[in-house]
Amino acid sequence: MSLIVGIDLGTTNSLIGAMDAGFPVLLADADGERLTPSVVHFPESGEPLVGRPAARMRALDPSHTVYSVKRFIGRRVGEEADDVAYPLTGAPGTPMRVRVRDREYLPEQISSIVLKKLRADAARALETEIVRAVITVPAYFNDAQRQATKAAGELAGLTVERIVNEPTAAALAYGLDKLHDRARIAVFDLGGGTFDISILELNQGVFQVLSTNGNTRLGGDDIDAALVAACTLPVPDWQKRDFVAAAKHRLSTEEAVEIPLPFATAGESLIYRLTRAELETIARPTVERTRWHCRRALADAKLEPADLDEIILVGGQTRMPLVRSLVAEVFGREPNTSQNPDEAVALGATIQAGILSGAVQNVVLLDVTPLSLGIETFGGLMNVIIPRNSTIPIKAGEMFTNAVSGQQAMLIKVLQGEREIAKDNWPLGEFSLDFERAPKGHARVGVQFEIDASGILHVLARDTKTGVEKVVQVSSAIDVSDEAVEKMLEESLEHAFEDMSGRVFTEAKLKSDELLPAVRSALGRVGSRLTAEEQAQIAAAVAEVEAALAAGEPHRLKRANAALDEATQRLATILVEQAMRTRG
Amino acid sequence: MTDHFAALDQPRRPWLDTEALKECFHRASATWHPDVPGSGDAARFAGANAAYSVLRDPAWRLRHLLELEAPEMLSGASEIPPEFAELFMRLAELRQALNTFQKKESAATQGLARALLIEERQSMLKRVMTLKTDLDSSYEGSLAALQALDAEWEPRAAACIERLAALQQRLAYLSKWRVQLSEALFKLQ
Repeated sequence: MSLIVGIDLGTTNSLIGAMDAGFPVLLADADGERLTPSVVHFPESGEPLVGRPAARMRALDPSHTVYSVKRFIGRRVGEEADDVAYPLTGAPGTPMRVRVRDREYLPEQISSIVLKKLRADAARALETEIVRAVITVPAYFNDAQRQATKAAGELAGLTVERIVNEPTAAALAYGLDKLHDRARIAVFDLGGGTFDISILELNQGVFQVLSTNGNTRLGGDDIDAALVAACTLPVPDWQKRDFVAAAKHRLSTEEAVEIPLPFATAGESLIYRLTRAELETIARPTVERTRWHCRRALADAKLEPADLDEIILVGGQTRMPLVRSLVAEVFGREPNTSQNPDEAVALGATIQAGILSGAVQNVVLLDVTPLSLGIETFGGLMNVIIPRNSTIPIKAGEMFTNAVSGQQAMLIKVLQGEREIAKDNWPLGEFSLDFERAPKGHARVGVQFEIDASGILHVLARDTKTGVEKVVQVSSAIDVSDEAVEKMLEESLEHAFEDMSGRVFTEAKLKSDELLPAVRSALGRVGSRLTAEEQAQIAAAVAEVEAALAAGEPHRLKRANAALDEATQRLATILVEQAMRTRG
Repeated sequence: MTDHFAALDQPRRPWLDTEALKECFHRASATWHPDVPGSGDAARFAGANAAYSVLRDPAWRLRHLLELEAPEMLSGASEIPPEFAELFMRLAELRQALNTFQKKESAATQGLARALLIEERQSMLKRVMTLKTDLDSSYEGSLAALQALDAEWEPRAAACIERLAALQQRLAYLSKWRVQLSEALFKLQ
């Protein structure tokens, strides 16, 4: 029964733990800290800094300090916006790389540096060599993101026994002392870069995930970005990131903060001021985006909010009062904050490690695959082979036959996602099936798609005549055709040389084209309910829009649209009231 | 031929208790899941997993029962039972109308334009809820007929098999339509 550690490799912070006499315990580093910032700094010479020393360098030397690299792990160029302080590189369609001090690193290489430190910390704390590990990922991570995370572990010298979904891990931490109970719970996990919502049924030690949903590009970092954008202080963006994040943290418990900035310009000292109300206004659009995913997960589980017993909050961002009140509103009950939002996932990973090593008995995790898996059909449609929320591990078979006499090979494109059109889904990769020469319809190859317990795809092809089975390599590096690359380059050039004012006018005209008929229609329906003054105001505003359109003046049109929009607010209110009344 | 009933120790009958089935699946998982040291068995877990997803849905379960007992009753294409034609038409029309409405709604970006659409949205919702009630009640009716069949079930009795096949068809259509309508309702709300 060799030791397996549990690791939470987070966007912002990472943790490591091991089972000790039946309990999951998180291990501290030499400074006694259990949290290690997921940050790596590359100095001019010498070894990279990891964790807190690296995090301190973020504000001082941003272009050589890599943070939140989890946003890019397993991603290809073009899939993710690269608004971080350090440079990213790569040709469209190829894996994203980080460029630091004239060298390029894959995100998994950066993550492996963090994992090496965690491994060393654990070895020191437990006085034993650490080899086997369980590593967590957001539930909504796709195949490439999971494989890259596994690779990060392997680069750090670890054997990654399992990739575990973060909300499921948190459920394990929550349910470990309730093994004789039955319950239905939701886990709402909002971290630095990702959001997951999972719905589970706990039954006598069986943890069954019913459904999961999320967004791997939604988290506290987005709130930070909005705060940076809203901050008008004369300071570069990469410096703003640190103090806006600090303000955001403090506003979870304080109503208003003032942060004096250390980098004062000559003689002038700057202060960053923010109130909780201002923070909530800025953060609200981001937090609101979680709502749809919660509804989707409930619908997929065929449950109503009232059917749940608890909503568990996980992830540092759930400390924000605004997030808690959204959760309470969506689920109709106060969330359960009994789990440490920073540590629950790592504790759960440790428990799963214990299950695999035999240290934990009578607990079984039934997780699901978050995304539908399918192949592209002849007509460009998605043919789903394994639907989302299927319990894993799971296998499904498909039989392929030659469409043309003598056909020697067939290219199969594998995708993950929920859209009907194949190209709207995420391309996992493709593989080639070989046929022996035969009349049409006579050569047959059986393909087995298996999603293992880590949520990773394995493909086996079996020739029905010989019965020979072989592992199929699904390759993903060559996805983007030449045409697509050219198109992407063309589009980026277009935007660069676009006529800015032409664009303003076109956008404003679109608004007017929508607004003017709407105003006429509304006036026709309820115009008589307005006062003469209101009607005159609206008439004047309409005239101004029409004049600006005729004159072709973009900014005048923009202002006129805004004025008309405001003048017709009362109209909108009357329409809504009327509709509410006739509803009865 | 795989026998999903056997995989989860269930009697080969039209009806079964879904809570008891789930309990069975959980117990099976606690023993055979590959992670369980000693008793873990990947093949048996795969069997239990596949069996659970088939047996818990009435339409799939009946289809599987027919596959085992009377595969000749499973025809390739089947027509919509005439008493369902009206439901089908209403669903098709409503989905089209919803599609059109949602295109209009997403094109309306400003407060006034959206306010103009509120009445139409409410009438859409009402139509959806009415159809949902009718579909649900047809579905419940079919389930009740299924339970009645189960009470008189004699495996391989021709009359029973015929009733089973007819019910399987009805449940298959109704399930599919309920899912489509649920999706439409989800997108609307």
